[in-house]
Amino acid sequence: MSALEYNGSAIVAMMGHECVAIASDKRLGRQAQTLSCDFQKIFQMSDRLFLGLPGLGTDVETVSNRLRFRLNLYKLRENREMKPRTFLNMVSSFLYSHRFGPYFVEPIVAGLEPTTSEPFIASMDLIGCPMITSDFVVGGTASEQLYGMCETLWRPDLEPDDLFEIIAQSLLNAQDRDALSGWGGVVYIVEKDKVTIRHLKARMD
Amino acid sequence: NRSSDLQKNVQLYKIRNGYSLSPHAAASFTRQNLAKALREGPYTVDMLIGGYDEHDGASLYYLDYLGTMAKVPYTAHGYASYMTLSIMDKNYKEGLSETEAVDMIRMCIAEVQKRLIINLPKFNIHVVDREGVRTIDDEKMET
Repeated sequence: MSALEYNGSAIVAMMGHECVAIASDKRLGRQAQTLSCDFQKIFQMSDRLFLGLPGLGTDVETVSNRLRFRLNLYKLRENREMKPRTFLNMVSSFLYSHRFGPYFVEPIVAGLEPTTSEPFIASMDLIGCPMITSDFVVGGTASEQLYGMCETLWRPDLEPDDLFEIIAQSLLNAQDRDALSGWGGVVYIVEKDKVTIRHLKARMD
Repeated sequence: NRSSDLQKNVQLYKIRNGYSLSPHAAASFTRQNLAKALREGPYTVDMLIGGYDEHDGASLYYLDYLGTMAKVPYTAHGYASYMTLSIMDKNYKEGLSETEAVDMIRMCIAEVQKRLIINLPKFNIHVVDREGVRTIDDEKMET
């Protein structure tokens, strides 16, 4: 059984008009057995920068802590916010430094540029190969299902309210078709002046 | 010897700083040790850490040998989990009193004693609250 599929997860991030959205399920399981429906997989790294971590639960916690540490040191030294692109590179090199004993997470970065507020989303594999897209990125055990849902529902230049509906439906329907993810959902809508967090009511099975 | 090492470190914190580690901090500290050991020489031990804190009230943390940590209202490890999680799903509600919680545990124990092939006649129930930790000595548990 692959380490990436041990705990189960579904994470998706989408680009909108001057906003980004990132959403995840809340299940933590031990293969088929569900342990918790409250497990945090999306971490706010900075005011407008979010990191989604699908994969092995222990590494989700470790990687988010280590990256937060490095990001905070950067902020103290440079006295400015880190750009999403820079953060992506930091995550990528962090993961590659463990090339032959990797962390079993496939991160998703979503945020707005600190100065221009331009939206940014990207994902990478467990050894840090980055992929920057202009529409959506997906990760987790339900990634195939998420690709299908996003491809169908997404369109460019969605306003925050529409983006919320689209990302929520993509997540809910994809995780319903995956045994290892689900049990609730949380959506973060990141706009230049605010971040809205909404918890989704989902099928608890 | 692993748990005694962690236990001593928690006590050392209290001596050094004058106040106890919060349950969340103790669980996180344990988690970090488990996670570090995972890639060197893993400890094959799952744990449940329960504690009381003036700040957050009572809290329960599930930890496994990989270093996965989750704050949970109720949980179980091992074979017990197959039988008892559903009982707790059904009967648990927010703000259970101590008597109700202990009764729920008794229900779970009864189920395990009934359904598990290995005979486990005696159980210890420990209660953690603002006064500390105490054991419930009970004749009810023996079959």
